[in-house]
Amino acid sequence: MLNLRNLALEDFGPYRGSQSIAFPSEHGVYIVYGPNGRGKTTLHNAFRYALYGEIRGRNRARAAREMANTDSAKERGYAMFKTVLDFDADGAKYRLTRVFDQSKSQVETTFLERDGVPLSQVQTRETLKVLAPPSISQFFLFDGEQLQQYENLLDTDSEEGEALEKSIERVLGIPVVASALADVKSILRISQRLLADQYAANDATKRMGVALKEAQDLRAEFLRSQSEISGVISDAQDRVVELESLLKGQEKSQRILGNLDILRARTEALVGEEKQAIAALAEVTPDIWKAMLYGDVSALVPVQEEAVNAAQALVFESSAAIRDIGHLAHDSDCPTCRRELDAATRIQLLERIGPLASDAHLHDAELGLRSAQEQMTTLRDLLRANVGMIVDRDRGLRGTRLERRANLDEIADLESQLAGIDEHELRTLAAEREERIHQISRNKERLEEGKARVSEQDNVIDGLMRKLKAGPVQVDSGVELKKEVAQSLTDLFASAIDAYRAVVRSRVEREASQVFRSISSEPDYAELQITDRYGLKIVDVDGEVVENRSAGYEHLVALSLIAALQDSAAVRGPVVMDYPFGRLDKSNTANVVAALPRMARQVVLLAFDGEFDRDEALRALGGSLIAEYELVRVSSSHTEISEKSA
Amino acid sequence: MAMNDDINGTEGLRDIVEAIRASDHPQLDVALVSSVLDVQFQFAEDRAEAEKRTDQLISAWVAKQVASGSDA
Repeated sequence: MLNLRNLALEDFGPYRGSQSIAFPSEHGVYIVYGPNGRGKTTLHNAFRYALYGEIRGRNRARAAREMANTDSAKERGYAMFKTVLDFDADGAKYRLTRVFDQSKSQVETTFLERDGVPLSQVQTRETLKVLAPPSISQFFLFDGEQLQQYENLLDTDSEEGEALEKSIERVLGIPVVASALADVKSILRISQRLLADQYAANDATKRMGVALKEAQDLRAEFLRSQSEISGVISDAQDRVVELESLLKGQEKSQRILGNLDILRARTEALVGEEKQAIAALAEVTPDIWKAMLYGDVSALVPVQEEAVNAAQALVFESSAAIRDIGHLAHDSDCPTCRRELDAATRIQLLERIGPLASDAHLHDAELGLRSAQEQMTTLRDLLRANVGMIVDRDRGLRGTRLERRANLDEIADLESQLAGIDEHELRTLAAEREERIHQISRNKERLEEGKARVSEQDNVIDGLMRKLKAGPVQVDSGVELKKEVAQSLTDLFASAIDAYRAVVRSRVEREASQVFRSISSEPDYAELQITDRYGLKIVDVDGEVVENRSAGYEHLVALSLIAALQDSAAVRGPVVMDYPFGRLDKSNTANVVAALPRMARQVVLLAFDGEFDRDEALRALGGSLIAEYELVRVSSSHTEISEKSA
Repeated sequence: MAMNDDINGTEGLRDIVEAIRASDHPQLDVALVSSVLDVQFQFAEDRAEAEKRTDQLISAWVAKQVASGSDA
């Protein structure tokens, strides 16, 4: 159990000069009030830096040097800051000092004293690993804005959820049994190997002994490969979590990018579609201009029919004239009415039909008729089918152009929304996340295949060992006994892991339900139900799981889980909470404030004035509230920590 | 954030291991199992050291048994 005593800061962020915050009791709640921008998150980071030597930004990883007070850095000409954390653990008093000094060759240094005695660097590292394991830091230094990660526990496919599950198991102490199991398994294998060597060295069991060694070698190779794959998966999961953190707060930009991709792809496709539409329209008729020029083709058809009739009449007239001229050349009667013609009438008739009776005239009339008929055919074609098709295709072309133009406008709008965002970086991070998730999935499949191979070799080894043990050759009894003990311990710890998991799950579920009932203002929500992955579902009074939980209730469930983990943890410490009420309404916020003493033995709450009703909080917390501090502005780059007056 | 040896989590774990030992592996020495867990708690963040010390514990226990002529 780690208990905070005092945190001293020097030139850390806005905390200029030397300042400190004391934690006189190892039980109770401490509240630090500060308006936005005054340094609450920086104070949260000061705890993180003091304990783990890390700095985290809300939306990005931050370099330590960014934490130096800007005014002091200007005066010095280089960045320097320091944290000194006093705490108790396991009955000893510790002082952990971390110094960042850009003027030194070793920029960052860490010193740890135990009961006033400085520890070596190796001892410091080893002690801190035990006292403050970084792998579970999120349960002690938590940021309300990160609470949504707990929703991933309900998603069985989420890599973030799997990484969080591992951290939860770590805080619950499950890896202690898992590590014990791994270690006794390793000892078992070494003992088995020593026995195999002894059997192989004896002529009576040489063949079987060598076979045993070969099977052991094969299993060792499979296990080495499994271990490598597990390491790759673990690294990839860590990276996915890191990428999620980097991408956090950029969900809107990611959605915009997604929409942009769709629009850009569609617009590109529209360029092709437009070309096709133009070609299709050109193919319908080269006389498209006519349709455009004439407008309503149907109105032209009767006119053209008259033209055809007129041309036809001309042809008839010319043919008749040729026929009549021929008749008049041989006969004296009229070619039409057969009456005898006098000389004057005959001359008059010849003069009238003469010009029409030439072959040339007939030819011209026939050409005129053919042209009129062709135009009529064109008009009828346009009328019958082509005009409809042209209109359709023209409409399609216009639609394509309109859609493309609308897309381009929308793309321009989305691009303007992305102004200031590094699109390339965002895409790179998102693409890497997808690739890592895919890689993890592939490697998990390989792990499963590998397990089957290892199991097969285990069976071979067990079979050979049984046969050899039943044989006449006696091996070193010490090695034999060690193998037997290691085997029994292996079986014991393997059974204990599953049993312990079941017990802690049940305990976490029970405790989380109790906390949830105390902080939830919805009487119909009866309890929480834990999943295999430590996700928590809300169950109502009718025993039904509540689907579609609100953001506020996701928040309450996450806080309940954290409190339950603290209660059941094999690793415990103070909880420093930043922005814990972000998604909560007034009633639930008051409930959470009242429940703070249940969250951990020491709770440090960073809040802004007005985030909750202080008088009500003072009443609810009573004697559990140990001290209140406030962050007071001196200048934009200088904040003082002072005790809050009543 | 130090490992606890006096709270539900750790005690619960020890109780469970002991219950399984007593029912399924009564021949296993209670003290040996407890010592292995002690080492695992103490060196939870240092796997190499935990494995080394676990091996030492088992070897010492075996040597003691062999010396006294007993088989667990």
